[in-house]
Amino acid sequence: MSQTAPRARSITRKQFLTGATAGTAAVALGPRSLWGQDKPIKIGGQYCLTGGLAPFGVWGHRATEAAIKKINAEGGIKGRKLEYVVEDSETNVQTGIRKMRKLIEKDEVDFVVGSVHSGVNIASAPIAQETKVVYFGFGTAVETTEEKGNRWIFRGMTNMRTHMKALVVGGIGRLGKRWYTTAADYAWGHSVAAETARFVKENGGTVVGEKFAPLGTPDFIPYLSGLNPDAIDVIVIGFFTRDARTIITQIHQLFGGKVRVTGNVGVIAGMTPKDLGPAAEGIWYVTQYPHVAEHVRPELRSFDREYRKLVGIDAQGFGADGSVSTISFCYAPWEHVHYIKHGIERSGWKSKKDNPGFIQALEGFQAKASLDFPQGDKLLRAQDHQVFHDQYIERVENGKIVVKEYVPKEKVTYEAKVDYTKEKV
Amino acid sequence: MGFLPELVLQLVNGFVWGWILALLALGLTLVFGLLEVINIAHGALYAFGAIGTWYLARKLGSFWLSLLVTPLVVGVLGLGAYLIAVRPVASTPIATVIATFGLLFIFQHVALLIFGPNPSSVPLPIDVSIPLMGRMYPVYRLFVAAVAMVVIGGLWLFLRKTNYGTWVRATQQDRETAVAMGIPAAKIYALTFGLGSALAALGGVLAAPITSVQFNMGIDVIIDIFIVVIAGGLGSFGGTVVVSLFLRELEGISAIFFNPVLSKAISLMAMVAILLVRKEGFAVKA
Amino acid sequence: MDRRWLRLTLLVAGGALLLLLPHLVTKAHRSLLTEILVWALFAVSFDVLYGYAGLLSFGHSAFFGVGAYCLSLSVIHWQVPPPLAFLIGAAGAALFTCLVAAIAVRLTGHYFVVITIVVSLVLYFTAMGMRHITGGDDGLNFPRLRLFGQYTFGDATVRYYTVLVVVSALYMLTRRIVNSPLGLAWKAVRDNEARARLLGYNAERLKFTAYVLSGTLAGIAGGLYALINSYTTVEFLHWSLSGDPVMWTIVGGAGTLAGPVLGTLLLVAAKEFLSTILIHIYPILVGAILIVSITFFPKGVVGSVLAWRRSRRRAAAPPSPAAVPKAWRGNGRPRVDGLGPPILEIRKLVRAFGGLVAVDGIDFTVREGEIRAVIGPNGAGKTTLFNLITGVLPPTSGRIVFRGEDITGLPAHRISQKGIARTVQVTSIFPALTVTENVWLGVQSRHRLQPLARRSSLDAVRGKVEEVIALVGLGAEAGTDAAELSHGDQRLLEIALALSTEPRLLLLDEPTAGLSAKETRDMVGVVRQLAARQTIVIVEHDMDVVMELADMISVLHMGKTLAEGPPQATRDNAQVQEVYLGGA
Repeated sequence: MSQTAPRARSITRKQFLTGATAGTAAVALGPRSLWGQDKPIKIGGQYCLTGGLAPFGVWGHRATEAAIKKINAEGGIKGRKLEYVVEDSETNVQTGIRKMRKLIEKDEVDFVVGSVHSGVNIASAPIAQETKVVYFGFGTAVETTEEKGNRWIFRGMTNMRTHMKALVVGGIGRLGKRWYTTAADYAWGHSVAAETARFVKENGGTVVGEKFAPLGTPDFIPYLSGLNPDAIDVIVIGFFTRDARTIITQIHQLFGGKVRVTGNVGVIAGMTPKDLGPAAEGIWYVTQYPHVAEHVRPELRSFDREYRKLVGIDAQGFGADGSVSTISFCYAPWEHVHYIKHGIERSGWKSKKDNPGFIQALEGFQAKASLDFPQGDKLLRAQDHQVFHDQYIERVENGKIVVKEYVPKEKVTYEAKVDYTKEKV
Repeated sequence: MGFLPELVLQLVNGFVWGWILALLALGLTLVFGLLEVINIAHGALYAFGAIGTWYLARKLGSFWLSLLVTPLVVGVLGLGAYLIAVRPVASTPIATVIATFGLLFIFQHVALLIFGPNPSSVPLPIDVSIPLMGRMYPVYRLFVAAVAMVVIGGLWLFLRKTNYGTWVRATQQDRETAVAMGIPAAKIYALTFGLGSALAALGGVLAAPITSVQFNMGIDVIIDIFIVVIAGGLGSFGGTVVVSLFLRELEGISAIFFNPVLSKAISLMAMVAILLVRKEGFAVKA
Repeated sequence: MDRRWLRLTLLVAGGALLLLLPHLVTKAHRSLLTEILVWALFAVSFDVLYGYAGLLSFGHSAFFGVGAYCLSLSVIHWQVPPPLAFLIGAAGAALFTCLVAAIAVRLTGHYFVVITIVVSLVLYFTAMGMRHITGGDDGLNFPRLRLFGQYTFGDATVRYYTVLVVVSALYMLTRRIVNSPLGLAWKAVRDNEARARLLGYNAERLKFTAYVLSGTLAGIAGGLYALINSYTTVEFLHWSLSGDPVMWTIVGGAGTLAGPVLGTLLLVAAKEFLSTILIHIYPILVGAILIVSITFFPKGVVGSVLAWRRSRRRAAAPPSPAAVPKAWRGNGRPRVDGLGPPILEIRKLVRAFGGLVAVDGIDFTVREGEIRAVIGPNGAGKTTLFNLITGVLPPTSGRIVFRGEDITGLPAHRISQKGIARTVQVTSIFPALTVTENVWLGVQSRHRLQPLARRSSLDAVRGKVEEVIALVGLGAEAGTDAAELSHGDQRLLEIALALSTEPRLLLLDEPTAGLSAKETRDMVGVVRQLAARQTIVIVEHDMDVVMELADMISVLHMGKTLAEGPPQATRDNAQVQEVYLGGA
């Protein structure tokens, strides 16, 4: 990847400095008089800045930081300034737990906007409940807002189930009814397979087979060689970053375009079509937010433009340093900060003691498309604190990404399996 | 005859990866046979080989250059690391394990700083596929197997026929006598460590176009390397090659019938069984 | 007396500090400390196996994870109260460790290291595959458990005190064990396994017990971690988790208990406080620290401090008066009564190494009370004969009968327990232990190894130890590390080790080899004392010694007995002269 590696050093240095500055951001940036006598509101960021999920964590952190700057420029929340402390969860659960505690106990943050790592989310849930701090995570495991979550957790990102439903609903008509899934042999991959299978069957298709490969497999050919391309219309890939790249390339080498390849945004997140080469041609996938500004729905474009400018992403989806952004994910951290803003405004929250009211104000909250919520309209469902929004289906054609379809949120909801509103806070 | 094509494909593929694994494992076992050091950082040297290839492919557009240059550079790096970190504690075998563990930390993190966290790929130098039982099989992979076989064969001849090779075998049997006879044992140890590192890097160079390059890709292979080296018989040339091929073929074939977790567990348990039944593994004397 | 009071005061002060800590530091530091205590227990578990028993394991994450899962699953599925869940966690880990240990202790060195990693991997993959039960890498969480009354584990103070109590108790228990006879036996196996076997120790069983203790402690650490976080994941099983306690222990000081605790404290706390500044070079720093530690400070922080203190103390201590060798009471019939029945009978003993036949059909009988010398040129098979008798090598064919019992093919430690002891030609002692500890090992091998006993209270053992040390004349060196003795004194220690097991048959393998004239005279004096009351078979090249001591001489040549008879006759034997003694 021509952009990433030489710039990798500058990502790390930049994020250093950002982290260090944010970490010591106890000092007010402006003269006190501008801010009145109220204490600032402290937001803690628990992001995977290093390790395998770094591409998502780094941009999540940047989006959070930009959101906070923007809100402060607007005069803060109810006249109170926002402060931000970020910690690196290192794509590691033990570290995620430790940093969660540190943010809450040492830095005494009022809210935590947390990681894309589902394990970290699930481990942080009991801590949020115990310390009575509201936690926003953007990992995609379904259980985080089902049996493993609680009333203190919110998720401003759609989960595996929604993604696969959008993919199947969007694809079953246009591409064929015979689906095959190959996914990473860990929790996330199995979710991909399970959710795909469910919706394919619901929509009149057949699941021809499923095959799992361990993470980090250097060679997927053993797992692909059993496939008969004449018996399959669509292959769903449940991998991301390196494994996605490997398997896409190898599918191309083995089947040379005979089979249609699809998956969620993991197939391309953090990469460009050029990186994948000819193997990428024809791949289509579901995403939450388009890379290319032109593909954003017309009514959202003005918000998108401003949003990109503030976070530092250009119209093609690249960062200022030339790195590929994970824009498909980082809208969630941006919007997490804004849920906090709206929750405080609607409930009259003054301190953590008022969290119960805050939580109730967000349950069932319908966000309107705006600079605060540039991804579009949202529903934050009361029973499971899970957000529902529209999805995009994108495709690589002639080396470029093209949007094929918008899947409205009504088509991708599902029944709530839990009811957090019954939990006492 | 549904699964015959799949079986053939697996056998061919297992053959290819078996030879790559043999290359990596020989690098480790050569070092162990002579120095009694198990280099935990061996996988990181494999990663460096792949990263070097990626770098040269980007900068100079050539994979072939990398085939020659990268193993050499990494071999020198390995030699340097040996002199600084391993030789000072060579008198205590367990200490060398710890020292190479420290090297692993350093190597892997340096790789991260140079290469970044994201994966990348190296284009196939030979982008042709041939039909194989109804599927298309990349020719490059067959090339890889050929290169590995040639190198391993050359290595065997080298150890048998040259002065250096004789010195290595002599020193392995009785260091004191070898030194007394004027064989430069210390130099041989250092050179061998460098050679082992170069072999690991060569494996990385060959593997780079058929897998993804990432800073921590050493983790994928290091366990398999250990297992092969142990079951093949520490220090045994032939045993290592045989077990490498056996392991990859076993994995490939189990993948047809079982899910990956199970086939991984099966091959691991097969290795444990081999280890217990024949405590010396397949000690085929080279 | 002073040191005792000092230690007691430190203990009380430290204890008070730990107890009052929650009220003295911030909440964040308390959480960090709670976590550090759990990791310290994990490091201690690793050190029990590595520092004390000498087995390097990279697979302790498996036990940690098993403990975490046993606790979590019993809580989730059976709603078990915390104390019971805790016990289930410990029991699960102990059971699993037994299974693994049964396989692993048959292997040594590098094989052992790799097997430990493989086991952890197999478990990891299996657990990943069973994600419906284990939650895979997303993991499982569960509601905060109640301890009793209104105290739940959601309360940071409850967490801290629970962890503190459990970890302290286990630390003290472990301390007792490593300082007990069992702990000493572990150190013997660590430092010189072959010699330990010769002293009668079952090395496999000792390694097994060390492994089980180690794995159980690791499992308890895992259970505690799951308990305080209400969370577990299969990532805990991955072998990369095992790397941390290795690091903490090496830096802190392996072979001590305070070392791993200190190492954990230093490295984890350092990482916390340096994390924002040094995050991108932290792993490189750690790698460099590890390499520097193992090269220049292999004893780690605590180990180096202890070693320094001991050398200071020894330099300052006045030399104890040279003890007078006492008369050896021995273990056998006094020679005055004449020779007894055959104590050792060897029939047609053969030992072949491939094509080389080292011992080629030897018949050999020694009677109780006899002093038998075995002489012959190098390569005659003398040491091989000893190795066969003591069980170090199994014979290719033939029989060995000791006191009427067939001991052919028994392992070395069993033969030692039956009453045969030997010295080794190339000095083989326990260099890291003191003279007293060396001899203690021999003496205690005849008693049951009590894991909870204080060595200081075992009077019977102590008396015997002092007796043996006095006999060989090493009384002045009793507190010295064996590695620091002169060559001559080390040879004396060799003999002391052999005697300490109260053998009925003593085999001496070239006891005067490499000794100066004076040292030889001292050695002969000791052997002469022993000869008064002990059955001895001695291999010697010094003919003066042989002629003086032996009742009978056996001459070996090319694996066979060339001649056998009283000293004078043997010396006059023409064949013997030609082969061994030189001309007449």
